[in-house]
Amino acid sequence: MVESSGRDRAAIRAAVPIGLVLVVAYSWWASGVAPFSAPADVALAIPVVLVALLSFRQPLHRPGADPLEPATWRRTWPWATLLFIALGLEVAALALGGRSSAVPTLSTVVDHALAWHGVRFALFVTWLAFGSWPLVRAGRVRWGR
Amino acid sequence: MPIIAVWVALLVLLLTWEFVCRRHPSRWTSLAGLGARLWGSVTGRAALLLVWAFVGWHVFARYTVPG
Repeated sequence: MVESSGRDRAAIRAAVPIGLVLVVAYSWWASGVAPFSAPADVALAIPVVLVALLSFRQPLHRPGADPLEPATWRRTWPWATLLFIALGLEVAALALGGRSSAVPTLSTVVDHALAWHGVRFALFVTWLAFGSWPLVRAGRVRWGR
Repeated sequence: MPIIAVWVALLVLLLTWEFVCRRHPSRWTSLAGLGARLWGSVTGRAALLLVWAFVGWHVFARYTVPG
């Protein structure tokens, strides 16, 4: 049993660099696909479906995990304030037509940066990292890394 | 242009506040802590995945480079 789990751990360690290369290659391809096209939707759907399937296979609570911090209003009001300001800006920008140069929406601001493939690639990798982070963390706990 | 600076300032504020929360976990709840709390329920997990999927779809599949 111990020998088998050691072998599993070694196999996972060996698979990590291959996985990273695949993620980089996939991200480069996906971030180069033309928007508003079927391939763009498919390129997005593949990681979303994979992450969703794997996420719901994870237990809701890890045994032996540290207790979660309480999330009372007193401890979280700065987050609510930031969200309120961001939503206010977004609503104001949308009310002005969404593409106003004086008050652009967040997505219009981001669109300026998306002209470069390198930026889209970096943002895509970041987006993938956010989505798969709980799975990576669960794997690290499970395999003791 | 000044509004773009406000968006950038909000992003910097968000990252700074996350850092502060992680330095003082007994006083403030970090964004990661809020995420972990949501991740612990089926609806919270589904909501996080939906938001993540929507952001990806909106940014990478439905963007228009301003002319």
